[in-house]
Amino acid sequence: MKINFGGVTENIVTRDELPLSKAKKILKNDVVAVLGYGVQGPGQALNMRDNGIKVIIGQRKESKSWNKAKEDGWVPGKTLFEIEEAAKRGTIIMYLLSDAGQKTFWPTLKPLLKTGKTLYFSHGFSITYKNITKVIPPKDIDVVLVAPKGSGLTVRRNFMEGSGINSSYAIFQDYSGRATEKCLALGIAVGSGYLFPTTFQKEVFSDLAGERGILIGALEGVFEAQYEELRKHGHSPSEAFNETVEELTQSLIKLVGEKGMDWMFANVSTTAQRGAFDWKDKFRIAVKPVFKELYSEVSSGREARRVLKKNSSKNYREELNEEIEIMRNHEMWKAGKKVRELRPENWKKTP
Amino acid sequence: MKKVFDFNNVFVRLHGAEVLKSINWIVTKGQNWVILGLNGAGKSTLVKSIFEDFPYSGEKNCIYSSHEIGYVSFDIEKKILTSPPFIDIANNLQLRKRPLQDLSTLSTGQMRQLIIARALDKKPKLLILDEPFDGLDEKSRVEFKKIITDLMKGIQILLITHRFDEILDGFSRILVLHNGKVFAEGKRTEILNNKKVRELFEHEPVSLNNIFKKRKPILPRNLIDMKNVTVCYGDKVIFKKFNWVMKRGENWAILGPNGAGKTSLLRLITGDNLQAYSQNIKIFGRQKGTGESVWDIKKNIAEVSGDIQIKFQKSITVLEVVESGFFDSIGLFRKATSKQYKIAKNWISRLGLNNLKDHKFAVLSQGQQRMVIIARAMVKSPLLLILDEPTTGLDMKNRKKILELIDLIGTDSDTQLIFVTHYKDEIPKSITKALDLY
Repeated sequence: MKINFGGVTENIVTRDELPLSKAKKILKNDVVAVLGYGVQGPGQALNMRDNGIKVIIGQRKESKSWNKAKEDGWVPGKTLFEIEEAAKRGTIIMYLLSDAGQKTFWPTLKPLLKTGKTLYFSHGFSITYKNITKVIPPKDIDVVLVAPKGSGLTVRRNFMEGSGINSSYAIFQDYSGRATEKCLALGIAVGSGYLFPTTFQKEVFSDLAGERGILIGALEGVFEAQYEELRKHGHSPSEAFNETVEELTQSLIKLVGEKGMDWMFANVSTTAQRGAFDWKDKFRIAVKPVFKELYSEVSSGREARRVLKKNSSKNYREELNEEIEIMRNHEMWKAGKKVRELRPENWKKTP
Repeated sequence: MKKVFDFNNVFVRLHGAEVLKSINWIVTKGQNWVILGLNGAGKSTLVKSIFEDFPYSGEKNCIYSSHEIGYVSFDIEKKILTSPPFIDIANNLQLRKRPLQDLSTLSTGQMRQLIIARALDKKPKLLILDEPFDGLDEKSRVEFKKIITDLMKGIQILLITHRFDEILDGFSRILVLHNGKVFAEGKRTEILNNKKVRELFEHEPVSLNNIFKKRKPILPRNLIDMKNVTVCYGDKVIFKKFNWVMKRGENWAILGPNGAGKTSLLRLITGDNLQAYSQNIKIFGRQKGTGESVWDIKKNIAEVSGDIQIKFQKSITVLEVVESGFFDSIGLFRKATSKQYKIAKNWISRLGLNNLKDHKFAVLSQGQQRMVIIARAMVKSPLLLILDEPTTGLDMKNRKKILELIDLIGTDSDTQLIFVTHYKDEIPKSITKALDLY
């Protein structure tokens, strides 16, 4: 189905175009091996099983996740195996370990990817940065991606409620000539409603840029900048926090979600409106170079190299905990904790 | 006598509607009251307005702060199930020896006990029990009646109920609420013998005849076949080597005390318990986990339960909730056809919900919500109708109506019944088999 996004047309696949019955036919001779029963694994695996797809789980024996898989009705020796064993048995391998875990396990997995199998990702990291991760798939398999736009829990909850989740999909390698139909069928089987086309590379670049940018990194950066400036001029912590974070999260951003920023600009007070229009471009111009640098770091692979190196350094856990502790003790977030307690809904606990 | 609280010409508006109108009510120290009224009369709003800051006009005063008032209701259950911090509270009560990791594994009755314990934990001066017996098994009800009688010696109690046998001796006063107004109030015997009050709760038989068509579906010999089923979480065993067969044409009652595994059994059938995949279970003749989809199973099942009712707390209208029954979804994600719309409207009308059709589900009273969930289950004429304590929260009139309807389904339709109850006298005649879990 062609859908127009503000003038640009994108070709979206819907579950009405590819109903479950058709997806099941496409996958009828396949055994899907889900490697990793951590975050994305359970949601996608449970949905596929509930959709009547043959699914097995690969997980380290007697780990916490192994026991969770057993409680979820996976049977050791029948539908629950060691990772290598599951990879041997599956015709479609869903590689849902963490980015670092994928890199580590790859030398073990690679020889098990026999001709004609399908390798499936929910994140394009390992493939896009294959020079660093060494995840270079054999030429005689299909390599596809379906990335649900939500956590594993949302993927499962939406499925159980009878709705679904939107996902992006991509083909990296089409050996069989059936990679696209398999990829889309898997997308439907894991519980997608709409499937948006992308590439492994675009999925990763937008993901990495987004989380470093507005979604998390840049957001915290501008929070800190504004909060510190207000505090410097004698505003109280509660006032600085309210005007920086609280009003955004409790009111404005919800309205942006519902109606868009254009609506917000049209509906705030005349004073706010004039000021917001006049200042937004100053901010845009100020941060533009940072976003430029960010995207170039991401697309060049330097960002990935840096992250993998840091993530695997010996003292990483301790260093990370220290960073988290520093942020937790930042006056802004301590003030935030208090402000949250004082929200009307928390005034009085239900008797 | 000292006033505990009084309402003087109080009006309460909620969600754009006048829920309470011109309420005059004085409660003095030591009086234990029962509040009666049909579903949607405003009972819960009335007792909650004693301690909650609902917008109101008129005058009302209460000598206790909200911290001194304990409140037990289905509403609280909803909050506990949907907000993680409450799990800590549950743990603090140490109701069970093991910490609660997942409240969703509790049975209806266990959940109810937890909430009662929670209300008592803060040693209230005034205790409000909003249909506290719902979900409790027979033994627990007897015990809880005794607990209430004991409590009344020290704590003043207000009780909302739909069953006259729950009006214990210690309750000397009764207030009857009707359409948001005080219909009658006064001494217990006067109210209970009042002709108008009795008429208010009298059941008018409704004609539900000839609404079911026999389609004679082709069914396997066994609708449900469980062999050697074991369900456990960690070291907590719910079933061990359990066997049960439900044959074509049979209607079953499932009985047993709180925590016996009734709800778990139903979830194995509906596909909501994942361990069904590791067990020897055949549903509609097909072994679980052999390529069927969970929607193939759900398509043939309709369900009425507190579970479903709690899940529907989104912004959705009564009509949409009923229409969602066609798609087995929690929420409406597809447009109903005009035929489906007509069927949904018919059931809404049959169950007396016409004036609520376009209301938001979330603003309805518990009893009204339950009637909507029943209408949702009725729309698709399923092979199997699962009724998990279906009359929870219903007033006397609605309860009789629903029990008649269920009996009729059992006799006149192709739909087979699984009926879970703690009230043996409610089991309809058309149900001839019973499974007693213990």
